[in-house]
Amino acid sequence: MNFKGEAYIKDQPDEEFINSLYGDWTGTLPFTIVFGKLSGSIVDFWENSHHEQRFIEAVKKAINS
Amino acid sequence: MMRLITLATLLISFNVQAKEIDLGSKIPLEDIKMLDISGKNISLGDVKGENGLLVIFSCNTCPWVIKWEDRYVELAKKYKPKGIGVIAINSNEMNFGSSDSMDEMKKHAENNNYNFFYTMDEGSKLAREFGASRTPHIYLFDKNDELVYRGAVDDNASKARKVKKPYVANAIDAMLTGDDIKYASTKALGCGIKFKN
Repeated sequence: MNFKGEAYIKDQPDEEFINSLYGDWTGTLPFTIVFGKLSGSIVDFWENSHHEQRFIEAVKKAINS
Repeated sequence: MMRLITLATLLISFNVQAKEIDLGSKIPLEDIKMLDISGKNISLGDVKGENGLLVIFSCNTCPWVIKWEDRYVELAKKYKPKGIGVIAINSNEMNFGSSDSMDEMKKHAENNNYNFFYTMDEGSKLAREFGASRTPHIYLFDKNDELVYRGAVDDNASKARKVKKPYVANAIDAMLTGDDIKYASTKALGCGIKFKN
């Protein structure tokens, strides 16, 4: 993967990590969550893999919110 | 600031996830027959013991399964003699032609000393009905066929000796003695079940 953004290492118990990131997340991976540029609020999230178009739309929403 | 957090994301397909069954629910699809690694067709009704049933949604390749499956064996060893039926179910239909084929399931079970049933869930019917989302994903039913625990094996996938909360073992012990189950619903990281849409 040629990902060039910030990356973090999880070092706490699963349940604490899951609920602190987003309470509706079941723990299923892969998991994606997108936050708004200015608002910092969640604009979209999903579990499992998804079509590229949903990523694009989520990022557009994030840029504009 | 825009933040995008993506954890091991693949751009392949998407799934519609059913709602998970509630505590107190009866065993779903108890009579559906599934092919076991023994070659026999068995159902959850066939597997359940006089004191309960432990259902583990699992697979052959998920890193979290690999980390936790030694605990499956210990749980079966300890609780099957106490009347708890134990079964692992592979619902990764997308991989049934490759890494989760029946041949691979047999090899995996042999290599890891599985001492319980390990069945193939054609059409991922049971996973959908349970609302199971990941592997491992555990469901414990009592002697009245009611769900009393759902979630993780314990609180430390990587190191069995560092487990502080053995959720499933504690739930079974409490169930057998008639005590309240302290943690009846838990979460843990796991690989998404590979449903066919």
